[in-house]
Amino acid sequence: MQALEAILPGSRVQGESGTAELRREFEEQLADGASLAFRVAMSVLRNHADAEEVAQEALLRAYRGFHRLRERGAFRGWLCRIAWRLALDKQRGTRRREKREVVAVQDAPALNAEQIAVSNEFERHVAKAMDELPEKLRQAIVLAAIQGYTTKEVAELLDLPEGTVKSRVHLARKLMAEKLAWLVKDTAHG
Amino acid sequence: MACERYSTRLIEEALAPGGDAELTAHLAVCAECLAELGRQRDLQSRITGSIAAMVAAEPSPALLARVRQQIAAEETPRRASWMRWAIAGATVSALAGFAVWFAGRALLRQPVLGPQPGQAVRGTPPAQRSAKNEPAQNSVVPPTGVARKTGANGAKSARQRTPRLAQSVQVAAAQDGVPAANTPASSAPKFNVIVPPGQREAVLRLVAAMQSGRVDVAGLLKQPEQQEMKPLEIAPLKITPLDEKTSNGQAEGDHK
Repeated sequence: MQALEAILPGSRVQGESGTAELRREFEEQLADGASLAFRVAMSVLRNHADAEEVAQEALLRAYRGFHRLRERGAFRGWLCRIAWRLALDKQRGTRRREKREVVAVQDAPALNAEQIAVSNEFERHVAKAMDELPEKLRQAIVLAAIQGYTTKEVAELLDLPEGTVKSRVHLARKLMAEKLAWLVKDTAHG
Repeated sequence: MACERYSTRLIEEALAPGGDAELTAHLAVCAECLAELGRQRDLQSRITGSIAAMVAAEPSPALLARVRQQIAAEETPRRASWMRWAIAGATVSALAGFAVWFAGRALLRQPVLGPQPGQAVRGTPPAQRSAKNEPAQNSVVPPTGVARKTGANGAKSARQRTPRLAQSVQVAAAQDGVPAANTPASSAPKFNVIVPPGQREAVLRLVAAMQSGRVDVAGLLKQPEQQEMKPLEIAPLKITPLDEKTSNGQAEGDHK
């Protein structure tokens, strides 16, 4: 069996004990993967229950396809992409609810920038500005914001050169600053 | 208010300090822009903090428990894959079986081909049409049962039952190679000719032409005479001796 794996690069021959080994390997990745999948989903959905649901589905899908994953080191990036896609699907599915929320934000009484800054409304505006970013930039800025992830790690997660990630994060921050510049000006005038 | 010229560059400066020497020099003399830069840095800090807070949440411990529970309940991935293939195979087999059954059913419903009494096309040529009361020629005679059920109005429906693959033309028995005139008075026995689809009209015209004498039937039936062929003559192959040829060539070369 090992000879076959040697002959066929990238192949994995699993016997009866292979399933147990597969589960053990997956279990090793599970705790870290659950946190990552949840955070990625949370960045898109911004709802704890929805994010947990998406993270759970992402982990199950990852487990189902785990035996096909040749490089175990690529697990986190792969899981990240699964969670991202599922979260976007979920977001599209609940678009109606999202629209209602946007309408509610628009209908709310106008606050000045200072009041917004001290309230949760500021986070809402940030979230809205983030949603309007192109997907690639959004993904980069979200992963870069996850605590403990360096640019290099984000580059590994996204399977991109480090320079590309840096560039995307920079551009995303710039676009967000431009979108939210009115808050700064309002503060200055207020 | 900050200078319009530097508004975008102030954002860049807030993101990556010290990258713009001209702006740095301007900031040394413009208090407004310096204040704006401070506000931009504050905004950046808030934005980063908001995004970080957004993704700082941790999943509940119940998430891991649920995932482990579902994994335990699931089959192994390989078996799941095998089951998917099995289900797909069963589905394809069922569809194929249904298709075969449906095709067989359609074939059974199709009318029987070939000469059948009552289903034949009466092949009286147009030249023979004379009497007004004569029934329509070249029309399909419906089967007896159908005719009984549908009566005179059943002609159309009977035409729709014409076999698709081949057609039958009823022609009076031949006399000396020429088909007999297909008149009601003719007592000559009739026979059916199975013709390929779409050629019924052509056959009817040919029969009419043969009956009217416009076509020389004997000439058509006459086999072309075969010319006597002379047996092949086998002539011996003449080959020039090799030595003589070679010696001649060498001799010519020597001369040149």
